Amino acid sequence: MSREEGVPVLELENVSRRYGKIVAVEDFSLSVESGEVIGLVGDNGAGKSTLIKMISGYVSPSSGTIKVMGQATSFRSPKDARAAGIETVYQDLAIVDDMPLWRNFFLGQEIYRKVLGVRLLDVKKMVEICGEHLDEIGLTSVASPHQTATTLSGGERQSLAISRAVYFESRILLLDEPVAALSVRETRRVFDAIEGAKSRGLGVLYIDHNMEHVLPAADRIAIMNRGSLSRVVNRGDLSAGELADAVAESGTG
Amino acid sequence: MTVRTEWLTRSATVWGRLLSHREFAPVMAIFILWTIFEIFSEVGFVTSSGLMGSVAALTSSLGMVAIGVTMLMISGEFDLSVSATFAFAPAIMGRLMGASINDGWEWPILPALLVALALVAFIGLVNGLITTYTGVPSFIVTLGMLFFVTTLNRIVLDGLPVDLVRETGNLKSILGGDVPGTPFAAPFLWMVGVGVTLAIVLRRTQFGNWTYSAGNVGGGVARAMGVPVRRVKCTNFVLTAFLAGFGGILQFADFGSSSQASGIDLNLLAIVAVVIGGTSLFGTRGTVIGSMLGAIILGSVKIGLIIIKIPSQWYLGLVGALLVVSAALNARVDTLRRGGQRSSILG
Repeated sequence: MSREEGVPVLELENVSRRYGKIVAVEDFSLSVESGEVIGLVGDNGAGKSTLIKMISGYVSPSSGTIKVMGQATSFRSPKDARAAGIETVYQDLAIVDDMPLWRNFFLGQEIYRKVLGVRLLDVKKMVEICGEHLDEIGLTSVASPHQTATTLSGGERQSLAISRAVYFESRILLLDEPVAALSVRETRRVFDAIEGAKSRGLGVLYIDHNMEHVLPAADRIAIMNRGSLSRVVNRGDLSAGELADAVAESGTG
Repeated sequence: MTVRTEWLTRSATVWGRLLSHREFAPVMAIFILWTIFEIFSEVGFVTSSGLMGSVAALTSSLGMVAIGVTMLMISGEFDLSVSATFAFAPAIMGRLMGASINDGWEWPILPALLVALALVAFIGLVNGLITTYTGVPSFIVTLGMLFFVTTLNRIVLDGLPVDLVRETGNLKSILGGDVPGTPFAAPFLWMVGVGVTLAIVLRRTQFGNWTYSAGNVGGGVARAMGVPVRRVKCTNFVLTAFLAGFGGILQFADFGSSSQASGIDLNLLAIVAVVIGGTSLFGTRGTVIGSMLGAIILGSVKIGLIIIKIPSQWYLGLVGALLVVSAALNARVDTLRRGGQRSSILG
């Protein structure tokens, strides 16, 4: 995987999104480097969801530019964003419950083989690759890639979705509250997966309303308030308590 | 590791493993029903080629409709208008061919067939576009379409049947003639052929994978993964209407006539066949082969009851009982496939 040196994988330049008179995101600028985890924290209503929707291709910015690997983009659908190398892992929308794991892993990016000129799924290959990734993230409850996703725990689903992003050589991993409602052990599993993605050079934008969730994983923390970026701090510069105060302050002030 | 072992033990009972195949229960049901009918019939059942031919004839119309409905239900949508579409295609085809007493045109069979199929495909497209763009549940959209197309059928036919008696071309026998050396008519082979093809499409193509994924929580995950959910659903709406219309045309070619009452109960019976075949009402889970087996079960019950001299009014009651029993069984199968976790209310 060759990655251009110095160019941030994701740049948001003065991005705004208005819904009629309501300004959801205003003049927001932030960049994510390869191999960096940025935690984006803000209260409910701070504009995090709108920001995720813009980066993952559900809505377009009203103004401003989203650059991927230095290239300006304009996504018309989540498919475009995915093709550009942005993989979003949503809290509830990561995995199709009743589909086998291998079908989930390759959904939207299936592998084919030609049989009598017809493009058929290469099931054997997909099952094999999915199985390797299941082993890699150490999902002990999984006996085979043919199992349905309903047999996975919440943390296992998130981990599988993250390892999928790594497999498809995504540049940017967008995480939407990945450890909400997870146990400590499950949370550690997800953090291991994030660490894995980071070590392979993905830029990670980790979005959560809870500072405590973001703190152990993030290199830098961006605090969002009322649609704008209020401050960016390096991990270690402030304690969790101080950061939480900062979020609370910016939320009320 | 303990969890893994537990999972394996759970499914390692022979019964559990067999049950976790959706097609197992309908196969067993066919086996049991055929055995009962064979024993209590004075003229045989499975051993009577004439009776098997009758079962096949009933199965082929219902099966063709059920195959489309299955694909659509797996993609998370319903079509209640299929019974009207089933009658609409032969009505149009017949009128274009001048096959009604109210004749006007004298089109040859092939262009009449193609126009009828194009129109029913268009009905499916309208169902799909309205459902996916307005967000009105397909249950309502296609219920409206059922009434609308029923009216179209009355206008097109003006109360009179269409008949194909004068048509003698090869195409008529390809669509509805008898299959030499078998007790079956062509529509049964068409149904099996279409069913097997779509079973492969569902399990072994990208479109199939996308169809499964579209049925989950309104297609939200699929859309996030870049699947064009609207297009997938619309394609399945078109497919469903097309197969319903094609089923109506096959029956038209087989029976030699069609009326506005053709296939009138097929919309609900198709859903029964689909559910008996192991497909979930809530999307993602299901098989096409199962639905064909479900159609065979309904066809067998209808003929079998007559043969073992049970009054025919019992048929619908028995269908109702079969529906509920198989739905309960499906829930059990899903629990097994989920590795023991019971599904939620909507699951």
